[in-house]
Amino acid sequence: MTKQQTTLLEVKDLQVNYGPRQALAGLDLNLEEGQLLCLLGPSGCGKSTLLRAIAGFQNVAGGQIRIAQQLLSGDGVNIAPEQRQIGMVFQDIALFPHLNVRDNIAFGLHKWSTKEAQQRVEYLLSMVDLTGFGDRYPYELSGGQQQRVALIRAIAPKGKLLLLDEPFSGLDAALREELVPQIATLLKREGITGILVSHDQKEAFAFADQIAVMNHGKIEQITSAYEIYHKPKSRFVADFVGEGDFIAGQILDNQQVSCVLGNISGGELHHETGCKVDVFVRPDDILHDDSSSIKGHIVSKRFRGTHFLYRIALANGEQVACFADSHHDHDIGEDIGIKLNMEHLLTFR
Amino acid sequence: MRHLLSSSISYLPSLKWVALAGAVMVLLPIVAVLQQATFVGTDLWLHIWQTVLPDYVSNSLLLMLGVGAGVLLVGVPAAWLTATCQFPGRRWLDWALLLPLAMPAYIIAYTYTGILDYAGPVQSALRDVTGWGYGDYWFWQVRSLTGAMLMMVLVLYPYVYLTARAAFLEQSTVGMDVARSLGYGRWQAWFKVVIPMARPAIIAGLTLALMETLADYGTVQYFGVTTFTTGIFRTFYGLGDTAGASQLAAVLLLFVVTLIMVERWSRRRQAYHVKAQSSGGFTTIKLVGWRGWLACSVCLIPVVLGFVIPALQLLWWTVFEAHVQWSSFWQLAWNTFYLSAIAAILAVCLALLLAYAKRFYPQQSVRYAVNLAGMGYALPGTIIAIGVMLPLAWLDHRINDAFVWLGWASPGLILSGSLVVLLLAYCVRFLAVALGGIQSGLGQVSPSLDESAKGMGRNAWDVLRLIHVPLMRSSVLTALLVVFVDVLKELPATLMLRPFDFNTLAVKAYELAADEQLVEAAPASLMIVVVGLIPVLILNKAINRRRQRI
Repeated sequence: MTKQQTTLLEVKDLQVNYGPRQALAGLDLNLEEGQLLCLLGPSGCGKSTLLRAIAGFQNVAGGQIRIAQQLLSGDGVNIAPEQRQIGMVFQDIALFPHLNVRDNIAFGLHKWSTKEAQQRVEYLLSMVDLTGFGDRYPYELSGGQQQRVALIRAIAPKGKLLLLDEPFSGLDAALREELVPQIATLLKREGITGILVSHDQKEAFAFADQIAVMNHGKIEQITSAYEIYHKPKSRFVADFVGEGDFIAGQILDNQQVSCVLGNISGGELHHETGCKVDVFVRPDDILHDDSSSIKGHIVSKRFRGTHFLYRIALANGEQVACFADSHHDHDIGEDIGIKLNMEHLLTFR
Repeated sequence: MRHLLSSSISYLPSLKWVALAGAVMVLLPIVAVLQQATFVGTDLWLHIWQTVLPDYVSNSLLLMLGVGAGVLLVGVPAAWLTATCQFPGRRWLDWALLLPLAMPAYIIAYTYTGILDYAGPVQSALRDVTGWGYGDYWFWQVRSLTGAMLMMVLVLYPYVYLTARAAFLEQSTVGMDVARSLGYGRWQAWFKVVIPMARPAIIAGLTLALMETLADYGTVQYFGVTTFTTGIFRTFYGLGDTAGASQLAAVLLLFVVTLIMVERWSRRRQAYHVKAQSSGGFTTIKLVGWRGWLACSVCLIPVVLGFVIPALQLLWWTVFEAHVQWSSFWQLAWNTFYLSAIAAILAVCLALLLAYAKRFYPQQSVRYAVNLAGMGYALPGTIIAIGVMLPLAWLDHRINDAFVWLGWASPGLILSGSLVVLLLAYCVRFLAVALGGIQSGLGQVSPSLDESAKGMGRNAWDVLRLIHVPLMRSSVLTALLVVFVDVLKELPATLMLRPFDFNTLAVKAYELAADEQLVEAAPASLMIVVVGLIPVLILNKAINRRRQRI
């Protein structure tokens, strides 16, 4: 696709208050057309509030929301949800129990001609492998099937934007793993711009082009999954995405930092020489190597099938996690050698 | 669990037979009425058929139509507002809307007659202000069919309010949000989604209200509206024609059966409705300014009209105008108390046996029997009265025959002429109430509790004593109270079956009102209303607890 990317959604300095509590504290967000974004964050960070504000269910206290340059919220404007042309999939699926699958999907097509609506419903059903399910009622469907119907119901009217408010949180892990990439593929194929709210990073990685990590009503960092994992901008993002430990270190120069694991280098460092920092170490940065001079003893271990996850106490009492090959079975309390294999050195003050 | 408990108590006369006996007890009046109704029509019955029956049918239908429409118009908006919106006074209107449940229809009818009649305060004030005299002006006649409809709407809307509110709380506001995200406006969404989703619950509440409407005797009789219940009463007592009365009762039964089927059908769909609904984000709609005050008055008006005004009027009459003879009043209160208490204990004991029978013998036949035993509530008191009177009178005659044959003195009508017939009628009618409470209580005693107690080496009686008794105590008490109050309020069956010269508060209020001594009827009425508040408060507490869990 060589199509010029244009900004579809523009959120500027958005503020939402729940009484005295600030749910969104001046949040900025831009989303290109055709992109899938995931809002990732702990509960209470404001991600669902942002979604509801974009959909029009939540009044804003300040800032603006624009879609395709049209002002939807802010500056005294507040377009009603039904006029925003934004599809939404809700956390509890919320299929209408009194309507069958076909009528559920056609619910938003009330302004279409009957024939067009019918064709649209059949097309969408075929898209999610549910052809022939039109006459069933929601209670006759499995959880995953209900989920897919809720999704195509939301995209049926061809809205400008699709919002997904933790729609997969009610599904079991296996089903989720299967369904999430399927749905992402479908949305990509249809060229739909979408925002998913999630607190599960696996889901986020499997779904989105862009991941926005939120905390305290603001976006801390917005970038690709790879960058979020390997180049977190803040201590919060590093800690929230993936596993890892902070260990104390001291900046030696603009390339190196010293810590209990030795002197580490990797990439440019932006701290003053001599200043104390915390080095962020992920379990995949540490390799088990019996010949290594750095030793630690095993505090706990978890077998994960393909590998072991050991927690290792170092000489100064600090602990790090370490992945080891699933054949390297050591006992708790045993001393093992470890070595660093760090591509991205992360330090935080 | 089943093996554990059932094996230890299998030496008891099987609970299974108790369940079947309960079902037979409820079926007995129906069978008796139908059997009696098949007797060849007398001239009298033909006369009834040709003259008054069309009136009965049309009045009963009109009454159902009016009450049905009214309870929906009052109950559904109030339920939706209190369940999903925020507005001034919502917190206490939430429970205040239940208050009219404490007000029996016949009592509110007497009270409003006293308020709105020619000599009442409203018309007197009107005449004072305008200087009009008798016949100079038109005033709405409360003692009419529309009056009866209004009175019943005012006290029966809580049934719809309760069921609808539960449904609205369950569906939360997500249904509306979905509809709006799909391009529907607020009002469109309300009619397209919110109401249809709650429809099964609303219909369930509506059928309850309509059953009460069909069962009412006190209001329609007092207002001179001829319906089935007044017809049955007149035919049975005034004309002494049991066959005619039974035939009328059989026709009324047809109405009731239709309602039961509608209710069953609506609940069948409800089972699906509850599914797949987890409680997600619960947002309330804030109504401010005039919208808030409009919502407030929509909820406030039914409370004021259905409870506050009549209760205050009754209080006024009792305190300032009635000449209460305390000795006879306490006699009345005592009669009512012990009759209601015995009936409540009997009904709850029976309900306990039935509920445990269903738990230990989850077979088709037992389930059917227990469900059948719970159907008595749908039967109007008049039908039950005739239905228990006939077989007990027959039994009395056989007993007397036997005594005479043995050469002993005739014992008289020891069953049909005593409190026995009354207690049996109450048990048939209110067993369902007791059963509902007990079964929901027993449902909370998970079978795994029994099993874990067994795992700790306890025997069946220990399980009952140490686990079931403490866990069931509050539901048993609640069931006792609710049946107690229902018996206290019940009018037609008491009126028809009470032993000679035996009066209760309800009967006395009815008799005094019938003699146009509305003021003197106030103390008894007030007492009924005050005691009637107890189950309303319990209900409110139960709802709050459920709400906190959501």
